[in-house]
Amino acid sequence: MPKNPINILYIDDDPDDFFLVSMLLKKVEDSEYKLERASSFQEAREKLSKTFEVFLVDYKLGKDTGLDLIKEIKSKHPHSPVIMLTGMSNGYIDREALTLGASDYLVKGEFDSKTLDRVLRYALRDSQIIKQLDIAGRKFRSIFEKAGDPFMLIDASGKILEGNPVFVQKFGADPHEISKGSGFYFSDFFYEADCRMDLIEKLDKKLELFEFESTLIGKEGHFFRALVSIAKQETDIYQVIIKDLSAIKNREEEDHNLKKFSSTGRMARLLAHEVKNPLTTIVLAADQLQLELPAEVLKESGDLIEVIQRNCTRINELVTQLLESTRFSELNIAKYSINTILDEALEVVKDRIDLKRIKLIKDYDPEIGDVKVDGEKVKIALTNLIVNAVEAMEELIGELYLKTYIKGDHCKIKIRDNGSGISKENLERLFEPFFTSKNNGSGLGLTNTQNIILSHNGSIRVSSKEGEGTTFSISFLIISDDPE
Amino acid sequence: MLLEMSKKFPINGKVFMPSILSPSIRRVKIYAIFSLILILAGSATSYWVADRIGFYTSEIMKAEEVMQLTDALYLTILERESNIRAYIITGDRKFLENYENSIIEGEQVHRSLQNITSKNEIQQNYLRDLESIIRVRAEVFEKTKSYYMENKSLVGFLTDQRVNSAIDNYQNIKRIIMSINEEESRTFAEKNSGLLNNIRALPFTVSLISLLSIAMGLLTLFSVLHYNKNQKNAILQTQAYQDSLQEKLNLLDESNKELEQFAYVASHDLQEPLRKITSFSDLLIYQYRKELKGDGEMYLDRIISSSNRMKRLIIDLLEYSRAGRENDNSMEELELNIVIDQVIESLEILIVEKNAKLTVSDLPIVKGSNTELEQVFQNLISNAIKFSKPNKPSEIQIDSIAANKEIIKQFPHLEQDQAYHLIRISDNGIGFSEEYAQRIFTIFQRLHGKHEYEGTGIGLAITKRIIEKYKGVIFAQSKPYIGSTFNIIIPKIN
Amino acid sequence: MVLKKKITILIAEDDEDDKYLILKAFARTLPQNNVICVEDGEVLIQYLNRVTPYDEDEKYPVPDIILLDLNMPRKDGKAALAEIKSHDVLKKIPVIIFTTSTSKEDIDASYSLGSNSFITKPSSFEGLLKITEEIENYWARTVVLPS
Repeated sequence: MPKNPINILYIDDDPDDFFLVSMLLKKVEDSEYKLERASSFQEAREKLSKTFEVFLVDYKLGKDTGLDLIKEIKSKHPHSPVIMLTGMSNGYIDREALTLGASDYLVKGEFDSKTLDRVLRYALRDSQIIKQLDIAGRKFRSIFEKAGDPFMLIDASGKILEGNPVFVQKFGADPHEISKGSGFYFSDFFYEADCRMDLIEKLDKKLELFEFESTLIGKEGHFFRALVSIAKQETDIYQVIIKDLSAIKNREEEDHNLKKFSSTGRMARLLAHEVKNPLTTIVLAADQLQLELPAEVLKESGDLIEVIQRNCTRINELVTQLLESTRFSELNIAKYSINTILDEALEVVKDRIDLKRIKLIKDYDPEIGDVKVDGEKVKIALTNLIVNAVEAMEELIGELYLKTYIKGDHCKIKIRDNGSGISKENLERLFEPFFTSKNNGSGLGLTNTQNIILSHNGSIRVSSKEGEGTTFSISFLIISDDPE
Repeated sequence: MLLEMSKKFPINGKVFMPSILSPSIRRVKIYAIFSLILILAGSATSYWVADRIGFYTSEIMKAEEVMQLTDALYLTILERESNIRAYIITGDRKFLENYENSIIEGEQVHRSLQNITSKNEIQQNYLRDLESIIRVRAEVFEKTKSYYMENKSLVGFLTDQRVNSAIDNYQNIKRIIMSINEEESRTFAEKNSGLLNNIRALPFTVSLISLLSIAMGLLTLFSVLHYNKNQKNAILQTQAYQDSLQEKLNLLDESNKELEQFAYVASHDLQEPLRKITSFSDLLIYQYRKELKGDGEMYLDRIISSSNRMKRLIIDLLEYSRAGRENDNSMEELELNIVIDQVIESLEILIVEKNAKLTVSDLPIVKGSNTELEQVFQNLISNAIKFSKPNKPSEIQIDSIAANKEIIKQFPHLEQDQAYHLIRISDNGIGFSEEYAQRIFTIFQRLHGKHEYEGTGIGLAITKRIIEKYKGVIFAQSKPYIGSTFNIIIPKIN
Repeated sequence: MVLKKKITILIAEDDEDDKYLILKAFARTLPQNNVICVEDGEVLIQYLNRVTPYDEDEKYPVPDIILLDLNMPRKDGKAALAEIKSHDVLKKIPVIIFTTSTSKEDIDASYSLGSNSFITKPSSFEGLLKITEEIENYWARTVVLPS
């Protein structure tokens, strides 16, 4: 039992009863009950804004009955138990009180301080339990609601009992909206007849867990290949999760494309870098020439210099175009907080971090603001960095330090590890495609990361010391609020 | 990029794949040898036991024979006695003959007995004793015979003493013969028990050894099966390994193609505006040289030199993209010496200017395109000259040897069964640190600032591309301030 | 004694800058009127066929030689070349392909279609001067042109 004072609101219009109850409570050893009185419905209502652990409600409250008050209390304090006090034992009141949510009821004159204490204690405990259950229920409900894949509950005949929002969205059918009497069955969503038979057979067999691939019919007759996982929750209730394989295939393709882009991207960047130098020289020289030539000469020759300048611009344009053609043409730009993306990336790597008992130090700037990026891709980029960091560190002593901060008009991220570090030769080749120091690495992780960050016109730098650790510094331009 | 591959699949004598093969087959061999040994042991033991049985059996038969012989001997002694007696009683000469015969027989038997029991010292002693007694008796018989022959009767001859000693001797003979028989029985019993023991032991030993042999045989069988399974696994693993390698190579191939495409497009599109820049800068100088005071001309020169630089870059880029292409140039069998002569001719000015000395040995005939091979050697030789020590004229050696197995092994993507030439281009130039040995072949990579040595940083990349197209390898070795050697491994023509 | 008349050159070139350079180069030896420029193959054919407004002989004389770029909008060099060389009268006029391309296919195609020469545009003005000088030298003095 909590040692904190237990605040009780006792609502009764009879002051003698109040006195009695307070005396009884004082007699109780070992607990601190603080009794407060409200002598009418109105007064009680006013006092409801305060915190009370328990409510004692008299049935006879003048013109209103305690039952109405219970309703009101329960709406404001759903988890605080309400105990009814009544002058006489009456089955009707009893039942009503129960229906309205009272935890217990006492008959005046038929209880002593021990009884009162006991009733209070047990009522408090019960409401605690119910409160926990409520919280858990809400948690699971939110998982159900928020799951990214269609999730449903079916019975042993395949009838759909419950479906989460994604399910409703994907299949265009809401189990709650089906008129009573009929139902709709999971097997209806299977395209192939033998898959339907298969499902029914498996359900008949009352297997605990099974999964299979099949073609499903979604909203508006749209077919897709999916992996269906069915797990028995209890007799007659099965949980069904559907994984859309076409989405996975798309992602694989994208990954593949990502890999292809890297070497041409690097070439484009190298070319741009090589061309930039002489180009700048030419532009500057041409500009200087324009300034230096005497006016008469300039009159005739000015056009020529313009041609030179024009073509420099053209070269620049071409190179920029080439660069962009090798970057991602499709970036789904949206506003994100970098802290959120970083956390999401951490979530992906969570298992490995936990397994290696890596200490996580987060130094986020809470006022970090938003950046305009393709969240998914940036998440991939950051995940690659975190995975590398985790793999470089040793169990138990590994420390991963993540910092986000604002500098000027840039939003910066620092990812630092205390792992084995990178040698100078490797450091120079770190972002090269197919370069890796691992036995099973593809050598494309960091290339992708760099590609992604550069396509957002961000920057990524790395510094490292062998035996001490590595730090990656990334920066993105912060969107400025449009002046409107 | 293929060198990256060799980093991933390193082969300093060790392959990345776990070697599961060796212990398995060793085990099989060991089990097989053990089985063989056990079988041999089994056979040897059986043979030995059988031999022992044979031995004992023959010993037993010998004992029987001894007993028969002793009986025969006794018989002859008795015969002698009776014959002498008969002769003495009847005087019949016939009995004397029989007496003589039985002596001879007795001797024969005695000799046989001696032979048979030659290994038994006790028996031999008995027989010697017997022999001496028999001799005594024989002497007596002779005396008796000659006395009788003289006196025609034995009166006065048969004294009590004589009779007693005869009885004694007779008893002794009997006793000895009985001892001989006893002794023979004893050894018979011994041998018999020995035989029985061996007979009893035989099934046991044979079963034991058979069981062990069978067990070893089974073990051998299982280890063979296990080995097979491991083989299969190894093959599967190799297959998976190869598949993943193939996948990575495909990926590489794809991105190479894209790279080529990109390089081609890039260089092609960029040439136009570049040409305009150079032409117009040129025109400016041509038209307004006189009017351009001081810096004006310098700016124009700068524009022109930068444009030329860009032009070289872009041309090199185009070359690079072309170098990877399969179709363009026709492959033929070329004498490298001729190719190099052409290159030397085209580089004549540079060679004379830098006072470079080239020594070219006999080089093989290889398969390739003339243009491309010229490009390769032009690049390597001009590099050698370019990066010579400031006050030391460049000395370049070009030679060729057969590539040995170790070198070929270092490059796992080469066909290990193919024969290769190793062509070396060595110089005495400024060299470079070995840590850059791979980087110099990367496109756009330079080891020096743009102002120190001219060059776009594509030359070696193009060279490498060409050599790799020919299914060869190029790698460099160097020591700073001493010189460099560029090595080309190229397939021999069959 | 034959009076060496200055030849008339008709250039088909769509790029402004290149046009400027070529005219500048020819200006050294030829009067301005002798060098005429049209912007693509379509106009070229119209010019040669004396379609209005190109029927004025004074302003738009029939050229002695044609300089033809390959990459032009509307009608490109190869198409124009083909048309000229299949026209009974026009095919007499020497056509010089003057282009940036160096590809073997282009070179072969041009000669197959009947071009008289193929010249790659140089990247320096000096080079351009040399070429224009040579063109004039060759086609105006060395060679005899049809009437």
